[in-house]
Amino acid sequence: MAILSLGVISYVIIYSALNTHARGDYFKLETEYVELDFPRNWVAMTWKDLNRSGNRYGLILTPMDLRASIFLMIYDENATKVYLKQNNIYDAFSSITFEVERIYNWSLEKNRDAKLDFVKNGTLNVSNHQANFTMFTIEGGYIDENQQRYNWTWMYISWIDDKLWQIALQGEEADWNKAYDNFNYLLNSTETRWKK
Amino acid sequence: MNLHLPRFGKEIHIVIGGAICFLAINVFLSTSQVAIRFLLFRFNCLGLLVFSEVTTALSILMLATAYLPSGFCGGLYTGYKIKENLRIILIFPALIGFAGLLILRIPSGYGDLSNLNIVGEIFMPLSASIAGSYVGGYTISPKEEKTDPEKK
Repeated sequence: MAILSLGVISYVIIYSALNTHARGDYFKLETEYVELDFPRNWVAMTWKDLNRSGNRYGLILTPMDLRASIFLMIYDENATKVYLKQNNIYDAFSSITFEVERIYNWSLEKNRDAKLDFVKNGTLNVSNHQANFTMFTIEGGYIDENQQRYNWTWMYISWIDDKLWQIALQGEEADWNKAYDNFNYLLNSTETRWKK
Repeated sequence: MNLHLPRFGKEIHIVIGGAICFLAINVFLSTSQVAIRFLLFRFNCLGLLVFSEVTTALSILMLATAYLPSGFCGGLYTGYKIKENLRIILIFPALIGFAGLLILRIPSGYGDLSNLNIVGEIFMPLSASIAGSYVGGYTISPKEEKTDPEKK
């Protein structure tokens, strides 16, 4: 009887959450810093990294059937100041360059022959913010569990208001292409907000 | 060397009950979690796991599918083997089983007290295990604890 009651309570809560958050083929995720729509069958995870020197808020979204993922990272005012000062960065574009270098160096540790190709640089609009972006591929940078090497493709977006925002889609090249439409949908649905 | 094993008969059965409870928690927990993820994936709503109310609902579901039944299994064995003082004894299989689970989780960072949700991760599951243990214990020997009115 107790098992049945608890099961019914859980079902009611899950069903009501489904009705509250479902928007067609997407779920609407509302956090204290961002609102966005993501595909219903993607795994989503949020985290907070709270420090005296500043707080960072993260979100990662991964489709179950693709070797790709989207992450979003927000630095609050203090964390932004620390990040910019520590890494000698002055604007969003230089923060992208810094992160690309970091990702490429990490790839070189796994594969000495990895080669960095820039595909595109530019600006785009995310939630009424003018953001910088860069698309790049690291040849042989994606190594799977069987040690097979693939091209590792990234689209890295960043902007700074008083906070630093970083959004990226990364993955094995073929899967990255499959996830790209959903990434665009997510970007268009993204609304920044700050309730801290 | 005289070990007086019969003196420890009850304690051994309590420990075995705790071990059954511990094994059952692990089996039921992992099975339930896999089953829930599989069902959510099949119903095209795996993303629900990010919402806090769904996490709460799943914690409640784990009480029903893992902690209560595992306490029941441990209590069932202990109640079958021990016929006296069940009111006190039946708490131990659940305590031993749950303590084993906590110890097993420490290497995975569970011992970080700053992030520990004491009510949701300790108090509620432990209470459910203890409740299951009593239900199991009294299911197998329901009359042993009752005093016989004719003896009075």
